[in-house]
Amino acid sequence: MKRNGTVWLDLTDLQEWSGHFTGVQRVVFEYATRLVSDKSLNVRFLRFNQYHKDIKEIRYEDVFSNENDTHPTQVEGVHMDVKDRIKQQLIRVSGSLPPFLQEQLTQDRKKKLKQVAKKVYRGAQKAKHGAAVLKHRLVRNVQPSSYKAVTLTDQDTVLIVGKLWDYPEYVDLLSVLKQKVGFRYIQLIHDIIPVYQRHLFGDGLFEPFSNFLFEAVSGADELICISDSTAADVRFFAKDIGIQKELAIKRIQLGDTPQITAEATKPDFVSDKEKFLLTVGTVEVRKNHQLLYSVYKLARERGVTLPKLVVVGGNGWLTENMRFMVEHDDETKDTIVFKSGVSDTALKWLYQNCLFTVYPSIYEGWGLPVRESFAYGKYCITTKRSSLPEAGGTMAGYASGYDANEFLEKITETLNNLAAITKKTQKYQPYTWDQSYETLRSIIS
Amino acid sequence: MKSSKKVLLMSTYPIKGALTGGPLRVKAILEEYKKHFKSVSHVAVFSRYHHPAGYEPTDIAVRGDLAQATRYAPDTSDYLIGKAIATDKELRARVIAYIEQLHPDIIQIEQMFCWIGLKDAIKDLSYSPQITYSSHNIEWSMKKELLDGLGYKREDIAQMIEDIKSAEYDLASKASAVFAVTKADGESLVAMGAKSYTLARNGVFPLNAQEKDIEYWRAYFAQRGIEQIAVFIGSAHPPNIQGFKEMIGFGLGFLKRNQAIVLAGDVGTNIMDNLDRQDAQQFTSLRRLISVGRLSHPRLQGLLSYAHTILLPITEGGGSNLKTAEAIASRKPVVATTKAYRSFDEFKDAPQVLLADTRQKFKDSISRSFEENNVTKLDSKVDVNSVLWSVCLQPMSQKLEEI
Repeated sequence: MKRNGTVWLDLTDLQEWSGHFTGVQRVVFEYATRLVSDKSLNVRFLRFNQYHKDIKEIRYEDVFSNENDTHPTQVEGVHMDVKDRIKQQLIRVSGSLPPFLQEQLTQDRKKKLKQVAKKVYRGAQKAKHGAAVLKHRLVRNVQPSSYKAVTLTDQDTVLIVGKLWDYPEYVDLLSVLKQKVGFRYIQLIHDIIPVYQRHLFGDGLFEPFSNFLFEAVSGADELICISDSTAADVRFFAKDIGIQKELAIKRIQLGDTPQITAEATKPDFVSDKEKFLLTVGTVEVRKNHQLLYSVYKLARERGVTLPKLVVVGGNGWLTENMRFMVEHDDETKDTIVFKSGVSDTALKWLYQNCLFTVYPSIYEGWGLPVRESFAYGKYCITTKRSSLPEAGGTMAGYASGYDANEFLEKITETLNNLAAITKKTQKYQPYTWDQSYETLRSIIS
Repeated sequence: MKSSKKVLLMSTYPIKGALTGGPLRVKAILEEYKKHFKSVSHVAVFSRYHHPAGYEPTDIAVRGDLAQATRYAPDTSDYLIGKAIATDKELRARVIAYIEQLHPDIIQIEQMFCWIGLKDAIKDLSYSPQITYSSHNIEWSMKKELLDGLGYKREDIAQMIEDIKSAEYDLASKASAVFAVTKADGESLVAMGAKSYTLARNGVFPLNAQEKDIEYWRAYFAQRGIEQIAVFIGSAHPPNIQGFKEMIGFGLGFLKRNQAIVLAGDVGTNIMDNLDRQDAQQFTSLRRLISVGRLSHPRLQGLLSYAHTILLPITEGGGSNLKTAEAIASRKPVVATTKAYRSFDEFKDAPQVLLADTRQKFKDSISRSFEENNVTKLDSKVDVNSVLWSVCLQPMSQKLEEI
């Protein structure tokens, strides 16, 4: 059925977002910025208001304006300025102290002062973030007269790309409306890991996620998956819940062009000539950092020296014990370093200057960190689990995510043949978000 | 003109407020007999632990150690009580005193369990009443199947099964009249020694829903965004649960958002209590599966009246099906297994009946029934009144008058 109505993109999970866009929010942002400029489609935006339990129209600029602090580079610019300024001030102050006081500033005391300064800084950032979130919530959920209720028709298309499962009442409302109104419902599915890999998440996600997925798979007119692996998982789920007909699932590839246009800046936790490996991603059990700990321990046992491993990612779940071990083990506390809140420009520097990346994840919907590594011309060692062979193709190196010996061998083989092995990745042509959008557009229209 | 014969019905369960199964059948028999006999009574020899509120003052509750023994044996309490009528002196005395006092001409044993002990205790009576046997199932094989299904060890239940079997054979051969709910059961009873049998299949009371009860359900489901329901009513009897799992199961994604399967009675409570909420298929079935628990009679009538489709996923068990009679009397579209229509064969080709004996066909039939959206596609050649209790049980009162 050809529809002539509005294409509504849901922005619900961005309305309360403040700060750096990652993962799913990044995907929503990239498609939103292209949809809003696409004159061939009649695009508008909506969101679910969880306080009033209704669906309201929202303007693109309400969510993505600079003054609302949600543009990723804008936020990181502020982040960098403040941090750099504090650092500069401390250096200036310590330099201007009288000699007898400077003598008291031993390395140990400097280190302790630095830790205190970091804690103060983090506390200030948290307060700033909290104030921003509060501001967003107040702005979003006070209903100015310009926020109109959305009346969907059977000519409309509703496109959901974000994390609908965070809003169970929205899942219910949307499914009832879909049944009653008959609009076209397009759902992009990133992965369904919480359904069949419950052990990789804490309590509380399986239920809302399963409910969302049930309504999406049984109710959507179009399903889009970001990998063949995810599509296969969705087909399995469909059969499991009693849908006999073969689902026609469309495939879309996410963009992996490096987004950071600003100049790279060296973070202070890596010294100039230091060789290091890099792994990027939330520190959660699924990303399998525990394997990397085993790899480094095994290397040590065998007398193999590995480069420092820099782990960049926010704190996730089910990894406290692993982190404790790494950070308290004298053999690893300086060779495996966890860094969160790393700025975009620092991350860019890390990608540009690492030897290669490792990504031993147990399960993925796609594997964007693998492609991002290639986009920086860097080889990546990953696993053959789920969608990772699709993301890695013939450019990545592979080893078992459950075999520290195999992974170590792959790392040492790569270190010994780095130039030859990384030739291919240096010629990698990133897949752009514009290309990804073209696929989405062809599905919508 | 009513017969002056005095009739006493005996069972191991009370019938006060009966809504389902055996108690409902006994209640219907009592009402039917009262039309034809001047004095008709019912007495339950029962355990209060399993019927805490619904019993008559004249019902005989077991006491003391026997009561304790039945407390933790819901699956075998009928046997324990039946046996104790002979072996428990106090109980035996109370039962005999009750019968002596009432002095019935006919004692009708409902579901043979009382006979396990009564066949001996009856010798204490000062007179010899006629005994009739009102069979609801072939009890010894049903009990064996039930206990096997619950994981009881064969050696632990062997004596019990043997006692039930020999008592059932004894009753079938000695009874002045034997009543069966299906032809198959009747033939089994003849093989067990009955000289003959009278067929008196299960029926229903006429559907009599009040508008307020129908409106209750309309609002209840509207709140949940549901407009079409398929209802399965049943007790927690294992064949009901097994039937649901075999013929429907938990993969309910084939239903639309405004459709649901509704479980009424303890079948729903049992299924919900045992649902694995960490399994994706079972957990997500709750998006289309609703249990409304045990209902009062008016609410149940309202639900049947509101329902779009009645489900009869019966795959095992003997006897005939009260639910089938209910479904026929409701005049609603029905999705059923062929087995559900045993002893109701003349109704299974009616246009509103969709028969399905595989899970996929059963589910497809539910979807088709919703799609066709034809609430009363009744075949005028079929006499729905023939499933009413008054019609089904008439042969029993006729026979009782003859003996």
